[in-house]
Amino acid sequence: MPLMNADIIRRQWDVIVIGAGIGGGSMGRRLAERGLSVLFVEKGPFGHDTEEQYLSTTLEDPFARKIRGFWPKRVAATIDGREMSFFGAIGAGVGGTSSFYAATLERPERHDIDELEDRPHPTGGWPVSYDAYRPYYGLAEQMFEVCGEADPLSEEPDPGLRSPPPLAADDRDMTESFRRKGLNPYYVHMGVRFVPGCQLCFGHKCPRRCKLDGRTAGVEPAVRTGQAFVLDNCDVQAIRGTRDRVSHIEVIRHGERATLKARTYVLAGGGLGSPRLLLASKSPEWPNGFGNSNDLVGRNLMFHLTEMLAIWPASGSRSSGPSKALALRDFYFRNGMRFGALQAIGVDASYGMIVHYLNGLYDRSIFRRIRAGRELTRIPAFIAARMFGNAKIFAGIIEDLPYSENRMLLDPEDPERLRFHYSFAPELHHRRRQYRRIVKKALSGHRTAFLNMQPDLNLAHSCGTLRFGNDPATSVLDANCRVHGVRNLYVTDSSFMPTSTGINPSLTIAANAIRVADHIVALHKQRAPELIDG
Amino acid sequence: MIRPSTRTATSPETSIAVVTGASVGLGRALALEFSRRGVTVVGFGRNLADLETTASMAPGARIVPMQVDVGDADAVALAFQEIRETVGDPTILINNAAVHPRRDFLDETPHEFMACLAVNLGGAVNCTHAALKSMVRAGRGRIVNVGSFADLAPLPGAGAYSVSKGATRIFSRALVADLGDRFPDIVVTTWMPGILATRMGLPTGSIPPWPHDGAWSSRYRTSGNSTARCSIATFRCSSRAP
Repeated sequence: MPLMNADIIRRQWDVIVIGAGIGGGSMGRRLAERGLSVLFVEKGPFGHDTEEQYLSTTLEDPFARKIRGFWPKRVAATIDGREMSFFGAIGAGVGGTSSFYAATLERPERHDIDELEDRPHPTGGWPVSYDAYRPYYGLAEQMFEVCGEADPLSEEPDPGLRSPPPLAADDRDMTESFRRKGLNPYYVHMGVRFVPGCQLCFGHKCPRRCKLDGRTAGVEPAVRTGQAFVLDNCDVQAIRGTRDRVSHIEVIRHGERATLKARTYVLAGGGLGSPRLLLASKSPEWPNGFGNSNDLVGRNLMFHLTEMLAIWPASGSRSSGPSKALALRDFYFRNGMRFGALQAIGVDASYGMIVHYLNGLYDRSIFRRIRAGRELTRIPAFIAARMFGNAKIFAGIIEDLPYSENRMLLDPEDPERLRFHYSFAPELHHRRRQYRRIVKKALSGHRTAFLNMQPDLNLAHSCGTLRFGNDPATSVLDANCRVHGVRNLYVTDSSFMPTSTGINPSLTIAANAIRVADHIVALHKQRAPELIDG
Repeated sequence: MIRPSTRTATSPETSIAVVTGASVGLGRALALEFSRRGVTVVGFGRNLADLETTASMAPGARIVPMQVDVGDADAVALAFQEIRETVGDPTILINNAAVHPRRDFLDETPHEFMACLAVNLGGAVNCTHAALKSMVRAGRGRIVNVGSFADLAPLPGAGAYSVSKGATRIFSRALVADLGDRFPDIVVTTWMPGILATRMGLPTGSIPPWPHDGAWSSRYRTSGNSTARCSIATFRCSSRAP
């Protein structure tokens, strides 16, 4: 890829996609396969397809981080009034955060999207219904080659996924003992091909084109069509235009400045990155940032709470190694409260994993400034590794709800830095306590232990910061994920989600991106008037 | 976290080793030992006649002589291109080529000093850069930089050589810093064979192959968990080191 190819700059693209993660990748692939010309503009590197690094939250050097596809700078945050900075599990490179994800690709529940009589929706429901999304979930499952079993509790039609590999003996035992407790485990839905020698690349890049992510299922197939190109290591400085349309974007690549033009622009820089770019795109027409008429850009920031839970096998069966096969939705919605799925996370309770996890907690604790103390996490980790032995580690998702005061902010010192403000709502603390009680009780008979004392925000699941809706007074995007009042700017990462749902956001991001892509394709095919520019 | 390697394990029959400085001494011994074990070898050297002698010492085996000055980055890049086209993708690189001029620092010119670095350190840099092209594509490979104790206790009149060997050892570590976490199956090693009775070494040194026959080749096969096997020391740096 040349540094700054004159043809790329001169050309007017059908669509420029900012951000080549799961939202941008799925969008770009769908557009390219349907004949539109696409330029991916990606902050991070294209990278090499045999890389297998973990997403480090400790590597400090921004240069080294960038080469590895990690978000280069620390995230600054005020959490419950405490100022802190840390490296979140956020990617910046082709594939985005999804290059490092565990490939869980599951549909949400109907109540995650629709207002139901017995399950009122926190926002009154998304502007697009669960049934309207269904075909796009199917398309996304095809695109990401999702395998898994239907959730036995679901009343929805069987999604008809590819067959997963057989369960390992210890997972079969655990399935049986869960069932005896009246629970309903199923094979988690995953975008993994299970090629021979599959190492279950969860948390790190997959070197064998086995894991389907924003890169392997999105950007690479898009490029193979001949319709799409990638401009990597390219920072978008600002989105420019008038009140009703984007005219160009300003970028900087290897110190060189340029402007890029397209008929349609898609912002897919992530739940934190996208609102940051809009807030940073100030101009006389947009004094508070592009698209930010009502001071809604960046607000309603949500994460999931992750409850890490060790579950020992009831029968004393030996672990046959890490697997992330089992998932349950028995606790997804209980006692009128929204929680989420419980999933095996694919790592054993090994010493290294526990150190890694405790260090993450330490970095966000009140001790975080005492560097030496971090080493002490090795002692509890050692004890834990001995104690946990055969335990399988599960992660329970607890849905976060939208609060206007939880928001992305423009960092006054460094507009490139991701900065957010978040306070735990009292009701979230309450739901968390209820969740732990309900899960413990339901699993009685198994030895179980929750591993995190403090609530743990999952930074990889940030969302909600540019919510879509029918009313411009309460939402940033319209039902087609187009910025209200702006003819040619769309957003297709997790920012669009009005609520965080009880499940990993990846499949929803991909399904929504495909839906919006089809809308954009239809406009281009009709030569719609909003595309004609000067 | 260390994952079990499934891709480092390799068979001699599918391996292609580039050995630099294969015309004499340790390089010749390495080339012969590789070929004895069924590995296809490409031997680099400046003296074609000596390289052909090396090849002729392994009748029936495949040792391809290539006249290359490893200090010349462009020549090395072209040579690797030719190897990829005519032999295949190199899976092993032994950066062995070195010169060992004996000169009092007061008597040599800075140009002479740096010329030694251009071959010893520059050769390793040039060949590694060229070899990594296909190793990164495959996600696996084995690079051995031949080191020396001269970098710890330089002899008088061997400044340039000592500096080059010390720098080569740091080069291995720098490669691990750049590649180790991203490509854990590309294993980089500094090997310190000790004092050898070669043209460059001392008459009292060991006669190659090396003190303990077979130590080398078993190490490259089990690269994931190798330990110091050589009689004096093996300094190893790899992300997969236990």
